[in-house]
Amino acid sequence: MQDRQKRILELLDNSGVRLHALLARLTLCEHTTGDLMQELFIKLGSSSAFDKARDPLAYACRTAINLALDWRRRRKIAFQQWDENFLPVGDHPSALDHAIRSEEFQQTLDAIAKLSELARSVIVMRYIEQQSYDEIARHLGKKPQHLRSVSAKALAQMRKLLTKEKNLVSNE
Amino acid sequence: MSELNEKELLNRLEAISQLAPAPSAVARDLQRVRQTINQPTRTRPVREQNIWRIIMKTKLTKIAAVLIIAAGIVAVSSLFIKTSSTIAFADVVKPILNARTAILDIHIGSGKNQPVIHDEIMGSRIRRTVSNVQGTDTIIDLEQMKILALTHAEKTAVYVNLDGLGNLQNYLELLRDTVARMQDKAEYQVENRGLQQIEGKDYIVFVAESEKETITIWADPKTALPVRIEQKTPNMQIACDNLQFDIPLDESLFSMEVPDGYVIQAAGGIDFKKSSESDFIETLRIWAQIIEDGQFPDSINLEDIVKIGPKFDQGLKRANLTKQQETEIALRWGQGLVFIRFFKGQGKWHYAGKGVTLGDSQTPIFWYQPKDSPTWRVIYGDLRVEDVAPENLPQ
Repeated sequence: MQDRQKRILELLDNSGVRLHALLARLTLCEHTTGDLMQELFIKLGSSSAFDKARDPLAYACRTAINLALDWRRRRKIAFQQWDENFLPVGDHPSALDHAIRSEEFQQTLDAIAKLSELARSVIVMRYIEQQSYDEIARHLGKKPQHLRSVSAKALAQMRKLLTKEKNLVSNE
Repeated sequence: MSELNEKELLNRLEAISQLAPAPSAVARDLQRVRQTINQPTRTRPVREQNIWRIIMKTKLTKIAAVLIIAAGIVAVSSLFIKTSSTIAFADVVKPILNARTAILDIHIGSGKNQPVIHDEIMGSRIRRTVSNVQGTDTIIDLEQMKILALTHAEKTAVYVNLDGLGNLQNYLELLRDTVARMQDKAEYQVENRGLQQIEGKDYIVFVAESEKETITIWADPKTALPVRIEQKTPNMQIACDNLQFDIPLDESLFSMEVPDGYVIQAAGGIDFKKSSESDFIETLRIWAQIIEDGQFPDSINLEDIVKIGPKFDQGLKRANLTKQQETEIALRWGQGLVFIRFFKGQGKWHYAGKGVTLGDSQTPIFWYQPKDSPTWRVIYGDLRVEDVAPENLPQ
């Protein structure tokens, strides 16, 4: 078995579930998650950069984030509910709650997709993956302090984007 | 203007972080990735036989059908489209993706009296009959890249090797790749067109579009089960109806073993890896000279190839050839079709041979742009080829 294939299988065994959850949270769509999961591992399988990555999981996470957010930017549908299969554990909202939350989640993720590559990685790792700044710093090879600053600016940018969205909706 | 406060934004992000896919979806997707990673290099038995010697022993009217059976797999399978643009649309395509078995009728082209391809599907195997090829069943094994053609009246069986059709995938893999291909297009979008009636019954209609490809699905608004799918590309129109999913099918009908009492016939070969312009020119020559009695065909689209069997037979009779010569001609004609069926140039090819006589040196009948070439190749009615700059292409 080739080294790369072995590495990829190890990654799948050890972190497949986590990568799948990451894609699921960023796409909110079961079918797309499956497709992107496949695409992610095909991509890693043909990537020499993956061979050289000191932290294969961090590399895979960054690739997954880029894949999911690229998909999100390409989408033309303005509103999409998340799949029923992606409900939070123990949460059983009404249909209306579900629709409202869906829209909010989609808008929030769309706003992340509009950030710079570094900013979106930080936001996703910090708030969706819920990693500490120290962990993120190790994965991205940056200083935690710098990442805090990136995160603060990114949140401010997202608030502006989402406020614009909110006002557009309320003016309709 | 009331600005979204940070707390609300952080609440949303936290809520997203709590979302979790269904365990069954996780298991299924991980398994799918594992299968892809572990996919072994396919090995093929030494005694595999090739497609074209089929015609040594079977009727020449079956040539077209056999070719389409082989070359049509991708087109037919790509009918099964799913996308995730709306949850309702996802519901509609879910049965297609999750089906263990399926039955459907495929119509290639838009004209009346088109032959109907009837497929019964079980996993990676398809049992196919074509309405204008009586008495022949074909079992296609996408896993082994092999076809078993059974002619019941003569009790003959022929194995056909699909070696060279390297991009053939099993049924579900192909579905997913088609989706990914459509979603990758910037223009990709899905539209819910509401209810439409077919034979007095209401169906919900979705249209998925990307670039020049359009997929339309009619589904039962109550069960979300698709009943009809149409696929349109610049060169092809395919409709698929009478869809049924997860109905019990007899596994033995999908066996690649030759049934008792059937005699295995030798087969010959078409090389699906060989896709050359010169082979295609030879196909055009045979088409005009033998099949169309000196004229180029009106169209060389898949829908017309499906119907060509009887006409080919008549042409061969007119030509008064020996069986051996007929076989060689059919073989050469089929080999050239690989060029258009698995086109490797840039963009799409153009055909304008309708009404043109073989030998007409003034009229361009076919043009295409080879990959990475600044110029186009233009084939004229006398079958000479010229390199032509884009600005000088036929209008």
